[in-house]
Amino acid sequence: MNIGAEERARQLSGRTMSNAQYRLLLTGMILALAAMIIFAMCIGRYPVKVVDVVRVLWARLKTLLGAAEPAKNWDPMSEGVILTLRLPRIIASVLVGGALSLSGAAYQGVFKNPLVSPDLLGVSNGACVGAAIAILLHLNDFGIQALAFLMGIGTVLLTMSIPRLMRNDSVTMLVLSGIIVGGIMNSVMGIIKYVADPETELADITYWIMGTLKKATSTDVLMVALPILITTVLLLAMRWQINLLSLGDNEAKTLGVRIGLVRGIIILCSTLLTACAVCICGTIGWVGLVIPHLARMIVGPDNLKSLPMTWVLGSMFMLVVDTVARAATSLEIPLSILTGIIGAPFYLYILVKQRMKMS
Amino acid sequence: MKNRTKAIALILALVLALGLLAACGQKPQETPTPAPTAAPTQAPQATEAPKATDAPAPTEAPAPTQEPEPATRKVTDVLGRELEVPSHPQAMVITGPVMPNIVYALQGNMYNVVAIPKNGYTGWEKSLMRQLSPELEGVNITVVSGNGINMEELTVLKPDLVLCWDTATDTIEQLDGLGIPAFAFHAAKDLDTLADLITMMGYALNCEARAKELTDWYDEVQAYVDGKSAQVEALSEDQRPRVLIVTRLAELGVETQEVNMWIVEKAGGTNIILTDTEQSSPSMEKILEFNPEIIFLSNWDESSPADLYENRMEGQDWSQVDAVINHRVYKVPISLYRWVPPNTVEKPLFYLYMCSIIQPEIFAEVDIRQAEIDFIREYFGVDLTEEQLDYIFHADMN
Amino acid sequence: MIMEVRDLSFSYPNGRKIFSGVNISLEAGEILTILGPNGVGKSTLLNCLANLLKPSGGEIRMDGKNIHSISLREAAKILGYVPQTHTPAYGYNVRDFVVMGRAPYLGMFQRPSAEDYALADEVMASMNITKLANQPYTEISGGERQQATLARVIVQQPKIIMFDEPTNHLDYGNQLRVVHMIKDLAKRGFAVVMTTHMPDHAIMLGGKTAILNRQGNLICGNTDDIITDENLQNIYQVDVRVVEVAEAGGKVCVYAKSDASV
Repeated sequence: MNIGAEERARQLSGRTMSNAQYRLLLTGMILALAAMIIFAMCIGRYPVKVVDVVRVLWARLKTLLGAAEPAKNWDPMSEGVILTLRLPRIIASVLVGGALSLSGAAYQGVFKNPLVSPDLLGVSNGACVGAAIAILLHLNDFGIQALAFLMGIGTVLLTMSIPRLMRNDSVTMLVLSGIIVGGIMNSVMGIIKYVADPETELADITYWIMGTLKKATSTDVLMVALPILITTVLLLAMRWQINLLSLGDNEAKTLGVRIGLVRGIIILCSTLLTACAVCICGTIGWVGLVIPHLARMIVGPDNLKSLPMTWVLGSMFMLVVDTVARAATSLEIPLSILTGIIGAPFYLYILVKQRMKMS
Repeated sequence: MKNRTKAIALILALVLALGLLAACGQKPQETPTPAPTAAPTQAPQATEAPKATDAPAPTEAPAPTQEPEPATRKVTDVLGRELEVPSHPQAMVITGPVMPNIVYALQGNMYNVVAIPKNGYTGWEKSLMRQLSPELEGVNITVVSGNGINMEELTVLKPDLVLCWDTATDTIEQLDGLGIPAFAFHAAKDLDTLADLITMMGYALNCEARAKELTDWYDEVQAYVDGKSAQVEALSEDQRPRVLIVTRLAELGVETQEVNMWIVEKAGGTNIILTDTEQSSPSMEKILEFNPEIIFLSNWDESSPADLYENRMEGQDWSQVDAVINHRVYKVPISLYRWVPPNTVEKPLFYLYMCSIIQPEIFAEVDIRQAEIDFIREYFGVDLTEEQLDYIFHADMN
Repeated sequence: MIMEVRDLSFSYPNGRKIFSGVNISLEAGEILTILGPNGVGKSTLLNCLANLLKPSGGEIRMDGKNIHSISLREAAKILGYVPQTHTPAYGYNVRDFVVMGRAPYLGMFQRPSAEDYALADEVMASMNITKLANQPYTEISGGERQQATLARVIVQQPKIIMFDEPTNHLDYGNQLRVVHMIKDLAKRGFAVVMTTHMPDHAIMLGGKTAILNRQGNLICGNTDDIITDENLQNIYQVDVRVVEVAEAGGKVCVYAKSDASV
């Protein structure tokens, strides 16, 4: 009986994606992502043959599974380029893109506002300050990542503690708190930039802020992969709760949702995702803001469908952007420049369309 | 339905684009050969150095009676990593902008360098090194830029040794993965660590004898200055002129690095005391309050003493400053490299220079012009012309 | 007794008292209509009953349990709330919106099952809104939205349903339809509490009526007893009569000649 009703309803409105359609689409997207990963492995400033890519990866896979080292009938430098330079970087871009867009979508649901980005509570501002301090202290690359991560998380914890102090658990209070703390971090950033040595330190800080994956090594990827995967799984498991929260605090309460707890967990997971991403690649804007919109345009606003789609789209997007950043010219183009050039006009386009719909 | 199809079409287009890019990348490309293909083993003029001990740069083919040298040697860098580096590197990539001058001092030439940072190149252009090592002209300056290193471009150059700082752990990890030897150095902040750096570089580049000569020279200069320390300490506060080193005149950037403050003290001068927030750029008022008697202008910008004498700087008023009234504003010489940064190989010359200007009676034996001539002749076998000396010492400005 | 309220009071933190000494009792299948002048605190009272506001004093027992000592989830299985207005941020399909009513029965990491969706479809069918199932919630009319929200509440399978001024934005005809719908809910066994500005609706719904006055006191009783000329005049400060009208088949509230003929 219910199947008949659904079918009828769909025929009448023709606007929804059925579960079967959605599964097909998602599978197709994931396959496309896999193909893009392989393509990206073949692109780069150092000339590598496609055949070699396949051979090297296959050999590495076999070795990992226990087979003996095969004869290496390829350019030895190619192996290094593929496995040391491209593979970690490509995986990093996929993880970062998925993480940023997923956390953006989660924030947009929880704050009932499709115009927010993961930076709302100050994680990026805090991470910038952390990295800048590390650069001033002449810490090594790991130190910079660690400090960026810690400051990013610390900033959000600070943001979330203010509403508790004010005994006002509402979303508005949280957003205001985020604005205040973000502003404080910006000022601190200003002081740091002021005292930094313009020849070396200031340049390093500026480039870190603009974002790059050129330093992504296997250790970096291994370091953040686990937290990113765990929090991703957690967020995806809770995506229906995001639907509920997006109705509004009062309504969610009447549906029995412990809004403080659920919102807290989602925010923490999203923040961890963003902090992990930012600590290995610097700050990248627009991804967390625009990709969720794109996903919703394709599959509708139901987070059951849109969140996984957001992750896949984000990964694809970041993969393309990073490939352009490292291979288009001999200079490394900072990532946030590219995401801005692509993201901002696209966002304008979305807003125009939404305004037309709403009016 | 329309939105969705559009979006899907967009994504398919992206996938296709990526695929096409991948396919295009397979066009047979010429693997570019490393830049200095010309005479990698050419013996430079410097072999005429009067020192009888080891030749500065071991680039001549080994004499036939010796045993054939092994192609690589095992070394350990400052991070404790064991590496196998070429005995005679042919294609080096230098990633620190201040390193080239030390490499040049140790090797006497730069034929085996394939890439240096962009701001290292501007340093080369401005300095004496341009005339002494013209072979660096046109070296690759895009692989290492302010934004970091483009690893794949670096791989294309096929380097056999990369010099980097010990803080660049990610870069080192990537180079290890690529199988390219990366030697890590610790940046210097004072004379002792500078001596360590030079020793380490000599070790890495197989120029240990030359490194020893340089550090011996450091010790000599230090001994000379120490010999005068009794006199310097005997000076009263009035007799110690107030010294200011300006790094960037327009922004009122002032030098605060440890090594240079220390040099000023040892030379018998007084440093400006700055609070933490004033460190990078004190206000004009603070400077007026300090009222320096001697001002040095570094080579980070194009400022000249005339800018202060004629009070040309907007927003600044130098007319009442002691040093300006008494015409004691000096543009610091630039020889192989700028003398003010801590990692310059000619630091002892800066040391002597400061001494001779701040306390000329005590350090009367110092003739900085002659010291420069001696240094260049001894280590590079080059006799500087008057013209070159005037350029080094900014005769037009001072 | 499905709902029992004893000595409920509410004051703002600055001390301003809204109401006190409120006592209400309600049986399953009974309807309670709350009347009162503008701004007297009807919504505040309703929000307290709906567990959205914490009262300053007193006790609320629903289905035998103290509403403040059970979890929000347990409360949501007893109590459903249809708000007056919605500002939806996202245009969920009506079907996805309705199935959200299953939230009290699902864990934090769960999603609605096929059975949950089936229940939602059933409820929508019983309310004749199946045709809206795949429409974005933001693109249907106000009345349809209210129906969808009610469907969501019914899917919660509560014992008590609360409405905040459900007839406010509706036309004359739709107002009546809502009244019928609420009577229907009561027949199906739900207890209903609603606030309204229309004493006529209270009369039509029968059951109990409560009046909150400007002093913050509540009188509660059978509708027939409570809806009197005097009480209505106290609330609305106009000359109102409750009259038996044959065409209406019962009592009707009308403005008296002195005030009506302006």
